[in-house]
Amino acid sequence: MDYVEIEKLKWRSRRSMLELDLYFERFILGGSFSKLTEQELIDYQYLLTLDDGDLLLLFQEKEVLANVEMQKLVIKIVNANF
Amino acid sequence: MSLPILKFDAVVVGGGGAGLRASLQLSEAGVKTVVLSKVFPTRSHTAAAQGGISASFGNSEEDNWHWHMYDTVKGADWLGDQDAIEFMCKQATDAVAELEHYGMPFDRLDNGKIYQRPFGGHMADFGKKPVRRACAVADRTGHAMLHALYQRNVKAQTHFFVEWMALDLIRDKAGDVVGVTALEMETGQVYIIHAKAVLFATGGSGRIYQASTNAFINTGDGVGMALRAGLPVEDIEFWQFHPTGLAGAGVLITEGVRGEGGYLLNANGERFMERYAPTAKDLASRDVVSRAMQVEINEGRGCGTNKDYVLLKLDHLGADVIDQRLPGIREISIQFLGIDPVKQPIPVVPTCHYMMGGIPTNYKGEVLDGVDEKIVKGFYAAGECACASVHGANRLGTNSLLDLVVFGKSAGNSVIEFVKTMSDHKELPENAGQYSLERMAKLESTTGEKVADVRFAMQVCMQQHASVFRTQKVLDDGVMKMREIYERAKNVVIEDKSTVFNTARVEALEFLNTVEVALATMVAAAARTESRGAHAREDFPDRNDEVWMKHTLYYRDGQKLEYKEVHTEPLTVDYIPPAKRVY
Ligand SMILES: Cc1cc2nc3c(=O)[nH]c(=O)nc-3n(C[C@H](O)[C@H](O)[C@H](O)COP(=O)(O)OP(=O)(O)OC[C@H]3O[C@@H](n4cnc5c(N)ncnc54)[C@H](O)[C@@H]3O)c2cc1C
Repeated sequence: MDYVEIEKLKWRSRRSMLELDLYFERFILGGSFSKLTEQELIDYQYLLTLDDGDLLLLFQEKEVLANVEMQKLVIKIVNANF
Repeated sequence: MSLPILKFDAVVVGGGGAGLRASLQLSEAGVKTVVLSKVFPTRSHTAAAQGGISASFGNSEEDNWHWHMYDTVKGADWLGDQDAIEFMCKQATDAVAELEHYGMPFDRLDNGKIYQRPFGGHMADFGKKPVRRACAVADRTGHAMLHALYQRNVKAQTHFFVEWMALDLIRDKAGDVVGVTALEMETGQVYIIHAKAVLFATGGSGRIYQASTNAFINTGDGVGMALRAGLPVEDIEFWQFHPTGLAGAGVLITEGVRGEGGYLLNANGERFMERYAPTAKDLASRDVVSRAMQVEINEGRGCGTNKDYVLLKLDHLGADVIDQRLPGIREISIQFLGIDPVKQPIPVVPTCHYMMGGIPTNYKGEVLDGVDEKIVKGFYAAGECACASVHGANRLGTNSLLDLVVFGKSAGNSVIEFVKTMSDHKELPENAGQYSLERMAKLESTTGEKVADVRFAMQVCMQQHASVFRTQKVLDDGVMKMREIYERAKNVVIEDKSTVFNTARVEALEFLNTVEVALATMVAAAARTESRGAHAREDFPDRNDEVWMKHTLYYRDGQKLEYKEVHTEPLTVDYIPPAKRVY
């Protein structure tokens, strides 16, 4: 993905709920986001299309995605550290 | 430089609950309308609202709008305008029924009627006992509202410009509003949106504080734009704080924790609420608990290295109660603080939750200027960015979602009437847009401060000087510091100067709005020498109706304050005279 697409992903990581903002902020500012592979970026883009309530359930590990790679990305986001 | 111009009958800035309700009204009436939103509409902050929306259906027990009105007037600590409050409470059942008709799947009773639950401050029979008045869609009420309204707007052919940021209001020589400037983030292009009417629904500004339950998007853009355009902001000193936000994160820890038997401790392990509220203890009202917590922190009995939080103990409740009755709390606490509440108490601080003040309007959503409430032609506002004023000095839970739909619709109707009177658009002033371009260019100076640094200074200052513990000294010091920060804000710069999807530029422009709200709050709070609703002064503990039953108007120019009368004439019923606010 080019620079603009990546900036777009960062902007779209702004959500309606503070909880989600905090997960994504940690992931982005902590440096994990910049290490994503091309495929992971595509998965990330998909995650951002989900409803916020559903994202929260995933991040709180109350629900799990069937797609194993995508679920790994969810766990990466949840476990990101500053 | 001439900017491209796009023409619409009406431009609605904001795609949250208020904006979408307004645009729906407009589009269905055939008014050519565009909604601008920084994010996809259904990701507006309204989606975070879980508690519900109030309406006195009386589906489970007797209720009526007169009681709802009384509760709202009392909750507002008699600073609300009673014409607007009557309007809202009377419209509530129709407004919610309309949402249901739009497809909002409200929780239901066995008899098919909308299920209702109790919520703080909503009472039966003029304050006698709690009543079930909140309608909800599980814990996704705001989300369901946005989806229903968005779908309906699509059907009505509302235009949406998503990831567009409005920058400034455009007013002509007569002071009438004739459009906005806006940045299309995707291209970096600034446009003039030329309109017969502009309606702001830009939401709150909770990000002025360090501890806030608000999402990052709540940066007060609408209020910032109105102030820069020479208009006042009303009652901006009134901010609702929630006692238990997770320290360092802000995430709201529901009152349910204390309802289940959780309690607060200071650094000495003392259950300090016993001293402040011997009967209700940790279940005293939000403002009382918040202030007690802040006093403990201010007097050195806070916990942690910086002694800047207190502890919420719930480990004694056991894992089962915590997991089953308080869902989400354990995950949030472990994931953000590494603390498992089943084993250890959680650090909490009083946390900013809701902006009661805003752009002054009447109940028709028309924006008003000055003490004599002159209507600003072509300008309308609704939702959290507006001050109608129904929440006065303190908002009741679930009354905000109601405010969005009632005043969104009402403002939409006013725009429809106004647009009918105009055969064509008013002319744009010469150099419309120049001001916005200059503001953007300034951000690209080679020397200056980083946005993040000045924003942090602002948030710390607001937290220390204008949160729940307010005295003349604390506030006066705050005014001095905020003025310095405001000067620093004039010199913020961005490193990334690219035009296309430059999020650093957007954040800088947002901050320039937020800092306007912060300074306005501090100046207005320092001047109000009484305690009323959320504005609680240690040195003036009582409400003083004789002197202070009036609305504050703050102007950016000269940081001037004026005061105007509270509306004491409801539309059809008798005035509810002031009384002591006891629960
Ligand atoms: C955690 C939490 C829970 C809550 N729960 C409840 C509840 O249960 N019941 C209740 O009644 N209230 C609740 N509230 C309060 C309520 O959610 C808000 O007051 C309300 O949703 C605000 O709606 P709005 O339409 O005014 O603004 P928002 O929903 O915040 O929407 C603002 C819109 O404006 C757009 N925007 C802003 N600036 C610009 C700009 N410069 N250019 C373009 N677009 C712009 C944004 O993109 C967004 O679309 C809660 C608040 C919080 C923080």
